Amino acid sequence: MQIRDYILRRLMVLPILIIGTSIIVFALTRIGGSPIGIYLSHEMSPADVAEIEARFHLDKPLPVQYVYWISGVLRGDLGWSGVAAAPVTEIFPNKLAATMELAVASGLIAVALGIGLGTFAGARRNRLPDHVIRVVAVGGASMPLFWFAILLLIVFWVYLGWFPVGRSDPNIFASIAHPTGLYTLDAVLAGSFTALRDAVWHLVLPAVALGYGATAIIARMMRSSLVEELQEDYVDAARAKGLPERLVLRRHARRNALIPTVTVIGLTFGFLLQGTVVAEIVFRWPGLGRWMADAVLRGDQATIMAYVMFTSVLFLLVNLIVDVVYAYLDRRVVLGE
Amino acid sequence: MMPAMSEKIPSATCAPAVIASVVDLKVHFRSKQGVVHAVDGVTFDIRDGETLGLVGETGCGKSVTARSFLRLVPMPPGIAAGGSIMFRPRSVCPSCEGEGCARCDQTGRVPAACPACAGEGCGDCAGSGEETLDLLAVSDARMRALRGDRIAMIFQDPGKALNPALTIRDQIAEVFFQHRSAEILDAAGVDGSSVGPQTILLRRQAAQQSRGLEHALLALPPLRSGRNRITAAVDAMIAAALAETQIANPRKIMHRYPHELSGGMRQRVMIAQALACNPDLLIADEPTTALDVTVQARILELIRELQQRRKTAVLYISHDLSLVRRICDRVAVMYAGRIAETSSAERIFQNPRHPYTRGLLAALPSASHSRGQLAAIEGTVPELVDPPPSCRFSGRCPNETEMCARFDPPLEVVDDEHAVACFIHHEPPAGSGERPSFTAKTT
Amino acid sequence: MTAATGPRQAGQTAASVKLVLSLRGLKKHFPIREGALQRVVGQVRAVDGVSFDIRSGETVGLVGESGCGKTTLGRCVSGLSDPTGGAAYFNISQTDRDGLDALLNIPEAHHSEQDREALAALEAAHRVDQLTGPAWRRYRRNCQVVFQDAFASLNPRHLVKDIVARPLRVYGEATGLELTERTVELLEQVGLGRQHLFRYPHQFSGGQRQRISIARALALDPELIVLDEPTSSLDVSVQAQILNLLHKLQQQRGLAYLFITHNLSVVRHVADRIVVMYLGKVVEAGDTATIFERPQHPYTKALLAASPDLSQDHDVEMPTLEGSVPDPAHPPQGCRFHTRCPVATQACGWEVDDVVRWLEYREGLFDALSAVRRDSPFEAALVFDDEASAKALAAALRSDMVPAPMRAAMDEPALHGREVQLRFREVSEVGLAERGAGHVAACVLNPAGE
Ligand SMILES: Nc1ncnc2c1ncn2[C@@H]1O[C@H](COP(=O)(O)OP(=O)(O)OP(=O)(O)O)[C@@H](O)[C@H]1O
Ligand SMILES: Nc1ncnc2c1ncn2[C@@H]1O[C@H](COP(=O)(O)OP(=O)(O)OP(=O)(O)O)[C@@H](O)[C@H]1O
Ligand code: SF4
Ligand code: SF4
Ligand SMILES: [Mg+2]
Ligand SMILES: [Mg+2]
Ligand SMILES: [Zn+2]
Ligand SMILES: [Zn+2]
Repeated sequence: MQIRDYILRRLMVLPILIIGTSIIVFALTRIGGSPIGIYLSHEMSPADVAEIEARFHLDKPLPVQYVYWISGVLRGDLGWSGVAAAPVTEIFPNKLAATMELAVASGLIAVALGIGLGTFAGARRNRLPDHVIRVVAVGGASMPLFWFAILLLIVFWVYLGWFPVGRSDPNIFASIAHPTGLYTLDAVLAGSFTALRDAVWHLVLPAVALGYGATAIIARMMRSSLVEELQEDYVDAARAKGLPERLVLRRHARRNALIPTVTVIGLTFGFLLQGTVVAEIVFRWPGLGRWMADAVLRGDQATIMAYVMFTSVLFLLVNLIVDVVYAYLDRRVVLGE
Repeated sequence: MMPAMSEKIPSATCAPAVIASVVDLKVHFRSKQGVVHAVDGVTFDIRDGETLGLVGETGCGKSVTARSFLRLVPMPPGIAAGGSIMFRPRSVCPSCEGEGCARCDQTGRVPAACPACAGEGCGDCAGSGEETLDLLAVSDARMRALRGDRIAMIFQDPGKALNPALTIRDQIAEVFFQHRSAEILDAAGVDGSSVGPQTILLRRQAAQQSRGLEHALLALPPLRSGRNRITAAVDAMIAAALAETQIANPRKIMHRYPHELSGGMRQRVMIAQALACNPDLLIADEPTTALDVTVQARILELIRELQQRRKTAVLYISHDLSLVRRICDRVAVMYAGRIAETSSAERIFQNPRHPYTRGLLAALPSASHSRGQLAAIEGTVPELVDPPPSCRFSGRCPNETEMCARFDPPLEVVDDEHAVACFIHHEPPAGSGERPSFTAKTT
Repeated sequence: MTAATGPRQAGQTAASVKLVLSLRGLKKHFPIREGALQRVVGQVRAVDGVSFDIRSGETVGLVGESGCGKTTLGRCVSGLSDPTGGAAYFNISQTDRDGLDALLNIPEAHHSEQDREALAALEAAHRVDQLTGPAWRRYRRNCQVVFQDAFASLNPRHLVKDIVARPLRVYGEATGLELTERTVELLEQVGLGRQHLFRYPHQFSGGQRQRISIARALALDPELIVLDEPTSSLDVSVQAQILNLLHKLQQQRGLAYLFITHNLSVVRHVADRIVVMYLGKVVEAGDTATIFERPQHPYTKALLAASPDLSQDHDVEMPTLEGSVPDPAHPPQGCRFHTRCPVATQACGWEVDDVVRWLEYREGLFDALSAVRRDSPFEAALVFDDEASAKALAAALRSDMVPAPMRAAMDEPALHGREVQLRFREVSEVGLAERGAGHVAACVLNPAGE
């Protein structure tokens, strides 16, 4: 199949997947109980409660409630967030920007560092650098994120005071415009170096904490697939042409080793999204994850559903991209088989 | 291609007509069970312009021997346990500038002069005046310069030996970038001797040394035309190389990926790549095993024709005796890490001396054997972990004597051309010497 | 369509000769899917109408180049995959087979009531895809397979004991101690023994693994074993051991073999009869001696010439075939071999694709070719970017630059501006024709035999 056909095909099934996901999301959230709690207070009379139930269609059977919800979603109405005391659609973009900034930053760190370390270790199999990187990677893959994050916080914020927590210095960022909501990008667009430095400075700790695990996974995958590729005949054939080892590694082995690694990178993205919840809480990062945690604790179902829907769709898209990149790297893949 | 510096002083020399000489080569592998003596004292010569067949069964060490020429045996787990591979590179014939004349036997090439005495004859070259390198001892840089240029290799499975992620063009171009960058610059009309920044960048491009940002610079206007001329020059060289192997429409084929070609086409690409720089020695490790008979016949014809035209020496590895008979001038039979017998192809098939060779020939199914009566060699190949000092074939040999389990038969010349490692052809050495084996004294 | 029915050993009458398997017009097509909707856009005709018989106790050798459909055919024969056309008939007597052939030769529309009944009865009793219940089980246990790559076909996590005993257990033949004893017996038959029961496949050499595969195939005491390149991955000395073993087993148990290989010296040694395949079709079939001494089909001749043989004079130039095997999704018209045949005639099925293939070798012209408008495989207009190229092609097609038989097979190419209109004489498929006792070949040359 052509790559174009493949993308079309995947896009065609995407709505079906999304509808399926939405049903699951809806059903699972409702298992947690009626969302009525978030609207109630002690002063309300049973009549008030019934009135609220009727207003939000909570007195209807579940399938009907689902239809109300999904048609609302399609009209851009994600419901009322009790936690934020505002419509979900109003709060969502800002929080999303914050989370994406964190996820992308840690994703970039993880991909760059993971591939770099993996290549470095794989090319020096069973020598000292390989052993060191492997130990570091095992640490990353097995250390709980919340613990590592708190450790970083204690060392670099509490003791050393090198890095701040939170997302930015409000004094600096109050003065510049926020067209994208991504502070680093906003700072660049505003041409303000102080703002950029501040944004990056705030980003470092949470991004490193969040990226470590993903780095470890990617590095391990990269290392093992590189080791495998280096045993292939075409690597020897490249050496037999007189290529220096640097080119054998870069032009030949690394490119093919990336193929399985790309799949893992796609999966890691889901891992990163999950991790944002913890990282945002620990570093007081005002993103979706923290909002989501509050929502879960308070039973704010509109927020939970919006968040889960959004991350599922994002994950589906990321995996589509990963598959396309995969097909581009490996010319032999027969797509769709 | 002849640096005027002296590499390692050769400790063994080879006769004038010999282009490469393997002397008591030992390559072992470390394994859980112990040290595997995969290649354990292999000695043979490859003469100028001949095709030498190296035959033997799976695991007898053919590929390890072949890879040792280019130092492609992975170490570890491999161990260079001794021996040497002497190689005499050629250079362009000074009388005819490569056109072909009487002095160079129409090949356009003569043995490179010994760098120590400039061809006068000295101790280094045993008076021959020819440069002799020990492939196991030369520097890494020198080895890389030899690989693909003076010694080239064709692998068994062309599907695996071509990088699936690069086009045919990109893969063959590498050979030219590595060994022919001066010619590329010439053809592209770039003055390679000037020292301007532009030339330096282009020169690095032609030698495949550009890194990172340079690629971006090369894609911008002042340099782009030069880069495009280099690309065009390389494309022309690649097309010519592919055309030599009778690939139709090379300019189209070279933009394909390996998986888009048939097995036979892929092997042609490998051959084009190997012969691109006109090597002195071509190592073909079972080049047709993965191919169909009709395709195999075409590829064999092709190798033979190119070899005869260019007078390239070929080390042809195979386990197919009938095939070796068809295309080889001389044959070396290998068994369990040793050479059992070497001779001219004709003799080995008409008058095999070693019991193993005889067994192999008898085991080939043919019309004359009645069914169920094939002469199978009983038993299996011995484990090569710390082998005892006995004939490797003892235990399976029909002619075995009491001597065979105690001594190791050396490879000895029994009549002109024919050398056999078996006691039925020569007496074991007197006395109960420890391990009367190949005289290992090199390195 | 009685393919290769050679004289059997004296003393056996037609009725007593049992055919383990008869293939009639067997086809296996694989669909090619494309596009976002994965519509079927074509068929890989891996096996495309194959007919031959396997008699009980004989060895039929099946040879041909890679991709010609040998493995696919073997899988259909052994019931591992279902044919998409034609059928295999199991355990049919020669008289019944003759009756079946007679019925199959009559077009279905002309069948009388009686014919239909007779055919239905034969099919119900023998046609593999219509067998049910015990008859189906009998067929399955009587046709076993041994694959080329013994390692891949043996489960690496199972002990030899379990691998060999599995068929016996599945069919409820034996349990407990008896099962072990039967397994040991089988292992001993293939030259292994009790000491190997509790080992894993990776602890064996290639030849020993192939022995294990054979033991497993023997477990249910089959009548037919399909051997798919059983010795291709083995060394000659080990190959000799396996071939001797196979012969011994055949003698002891009266097995029939379908021996798939591309090694001609092996097939010459083992086979009673040989079937040569090219691109999904049988091109020649006959007794081993006949095929080797008097091959009739040019492809068989080329195959024989290209196979190295020790007895051959090695100084003789190897005659070789041009080009490569065409794509089985678009097999050539007429004789499928005509694209490579050194002695092709004008009646061999020349078509538009041949011109396109020829053009691929002319760089300039091929690049100028912008479209091919096909009316049929034999008629098309080739559209070029410029008139000069069209003119050049028309001129070339009239000259010696193209093969003479191809020129003879086509009408004068008509030149209309940038277009060249081509028309070839239509030719139907070249079928198998009798060349002697039990010898058939599919070639337009010498149809009457020499
Ligand atoms: N990388 C390696 N690590 C460990 N052992 C090795 C390695 N390469 C080769 N060997 C050992 O060396 C021996 C010889 O291997 P080699 O590949 O030279 O055999 P060969 O004669 O080329 O066989 P074949 O016909 O199967 O290609 C084998 O027994 C193998 O076990
Ligand atoms: N499952 C499948 N789907 C699609 N095409 C297939 C499939 N199996 C086989 N083919 C095609 O059918 C053709 C015949 O394949 P088959 O494996 O039978 O060839 P073969 O004669 O056994 O070749 P070899 O000698 O290489 O084993 C090939 O072109 C192959 O690509
Ligand atoms: S030395 Fe002895 S065992 Fe070895 S091949 Fe000769 S006779 Fe056989
Ligand atoms: S019919 Fe016979 S002559 Fe014609 S192409 Fe086929 S094999 Fe060749
Ligand atoms: Mg090998
Ligand atoms: Mg097959
Ligand atoms: Zn000269
Ligand atoms: Zn000298």
